[in-house]
Amino acid sequence: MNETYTVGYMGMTQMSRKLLEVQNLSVRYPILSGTVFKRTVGHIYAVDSISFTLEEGDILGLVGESGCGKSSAARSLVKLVPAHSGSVFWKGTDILPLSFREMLPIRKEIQMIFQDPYSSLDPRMTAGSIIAEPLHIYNKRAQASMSGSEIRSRVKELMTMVGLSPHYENRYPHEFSGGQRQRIGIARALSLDPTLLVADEAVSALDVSIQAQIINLLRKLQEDFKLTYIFIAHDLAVVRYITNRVAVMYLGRIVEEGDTEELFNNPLHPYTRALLSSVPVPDPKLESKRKRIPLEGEVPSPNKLHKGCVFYERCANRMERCKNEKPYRARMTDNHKVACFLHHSRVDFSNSE
Amino acid sequence: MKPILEVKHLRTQFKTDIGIVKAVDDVSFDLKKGEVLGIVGESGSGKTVMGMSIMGLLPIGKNVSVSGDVIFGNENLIEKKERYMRDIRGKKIAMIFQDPMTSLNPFLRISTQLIEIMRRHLDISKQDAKDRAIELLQLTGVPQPKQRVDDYPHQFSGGMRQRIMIAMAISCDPSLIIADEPTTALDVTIQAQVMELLHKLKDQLDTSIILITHDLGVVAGFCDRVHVMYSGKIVEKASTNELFEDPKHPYTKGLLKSIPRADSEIKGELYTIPGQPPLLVSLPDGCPFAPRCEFVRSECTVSYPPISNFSHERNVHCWLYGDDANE
Repeated sequence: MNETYTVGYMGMTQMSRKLLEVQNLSVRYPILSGTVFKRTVGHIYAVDSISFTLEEGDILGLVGESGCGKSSAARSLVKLVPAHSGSVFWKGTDILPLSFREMLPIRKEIQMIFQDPYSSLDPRMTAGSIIAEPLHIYNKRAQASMSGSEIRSRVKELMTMVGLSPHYENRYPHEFSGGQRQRIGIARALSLDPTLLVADEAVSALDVSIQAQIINLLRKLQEDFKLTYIFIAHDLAVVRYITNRVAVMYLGRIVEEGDTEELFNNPLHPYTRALLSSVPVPDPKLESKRKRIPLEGEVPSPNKLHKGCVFYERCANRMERCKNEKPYRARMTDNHKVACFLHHSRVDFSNSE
Repeated sequence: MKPILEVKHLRTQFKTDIGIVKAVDDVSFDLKKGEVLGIVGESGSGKTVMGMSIMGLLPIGKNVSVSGDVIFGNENLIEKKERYMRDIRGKKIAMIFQDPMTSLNPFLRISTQLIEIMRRHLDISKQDAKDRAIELLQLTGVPQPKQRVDDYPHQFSGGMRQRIMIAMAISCDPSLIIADEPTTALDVTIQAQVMELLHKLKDQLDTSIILITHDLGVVAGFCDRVHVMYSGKIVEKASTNELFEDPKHPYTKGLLKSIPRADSEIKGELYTIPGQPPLLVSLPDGCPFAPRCEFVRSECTVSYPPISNFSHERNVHCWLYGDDANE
């Protein structure tokens, strides 16, 4: 059912340029047991059949709590972890079956920024060589041909672009602060002129005043180079500020998706509502008046597939139907979709996916 | 009413290869019974070291020195020997640490760890201590406490471990809890649960809490008063409402302006404080925030601004306010 409706949905968006199209992507990790001979005794269903599309210039936020599969989803797009099933179309080509060699020119276009600016940079390389490394690799693989001096000037250009003085080229990561290291990570990601940047919690480890600097930098780069972002974060305030679309994940599934403002102003899924109400707001008067929607218990282990809704066990509005039937994602408005039976009565089913 | 804790001119310094680090530099404040005081600041501003200094958890010696007064009850904790502090820690002052993954002993059952504290501080039998441990888990919202009390830390999730830490902290009915970033490692929905729990317990037990955090949202929802720290100093003191409504110090102003919000849309560029926090070694004369401050004046680089009092418990260290406020 899912597939047929997805096609209907894609028909709607043919107007603008589709960059990435994810269809029913699943990621599973085996659970191994045994001391000498490892055998698979089960699976962690990290990502369970998610679909979304990215258009050029989009900044899509993937939000959810730890363990909801947002990082696994992003990593499988870049093929850092193998996908179990589904397809990922990059400008129309399914990249999942591609070989390492076939993937090279595409990898260049999809780059990643990692969370921890301390562990994602090689401590024995200088800032300049870290930023130049992708260029050298693509030279070696004959995907590009840049002379040494071209690479050097490109590195200087990149450092200036992200707000680092090119004089720091020969310094090592430990000589930089957290915010500056994150800038190095961003410069490295930009070195090959990517189209899509996957930022996995790129600002989470930074202090408030530094975080604002990096957020502004990411936004500026997006405007200057017409980049597309997948922005993974658990900080919903940051997501609201930087993204134009948001997908909320819970236990491996996207439960709600929509334009950022629409979703934040009018959250529909009971999980999204609880999540948004839990975010503390820096305003004491508002805080004292706000009503939280308490969530009972915790996210269950993703070691089994759910027959019904993934949120069933913790949902305050659960119905008999939710237990055995998977809610499909229904389109509420043009840019707002939710996978919850509560809202299905209100929609025109011909529009659903 | 006499405050339960008075900190006067607390200074903590570390001797390092590159110079003396003034992690806490002349910090004074007090705390009333049943009050929640928020200490906000960025990493490296000295808030954690301040908490550790109050608890006497730093290895004082050749390279570490703590001076000033920490008056708790009628005693000055700074002068006390380790032996005395051991009777205070866990009993009268408890601490909740940031990382529930590393602050519990992975080799010992939860029950063992909870019973250990109670047996150390209270005159209680093993069986009574275990019963109380189960009660505490119940109180802090750990499901099926009877069955789970004998589990090991790894069998609990992060949120549950933090509840166990809280159970441990309140086990001997302390009059002061120092909570150092208690929810930073947790997800927002779990954070909401844990803060709710702390709030409830505070009202039930009439405990005072020092909440050390970098999250201004948590401060807004939980604290009565807030102190803002920057490079080892408290630069602004205010009630929570005053701080958010009318921040005085340029650093506080900048901080409040630079956080995006989940409850409203912000258009345009996010405000940023330029530069980065200074190293705590060889701080320049004058205000440590001066190099990043948009209102910087000539006197700012010369000497550290004196205190400007606006009202009782509302003051700021900034040359902008000079003498006007004191009049």
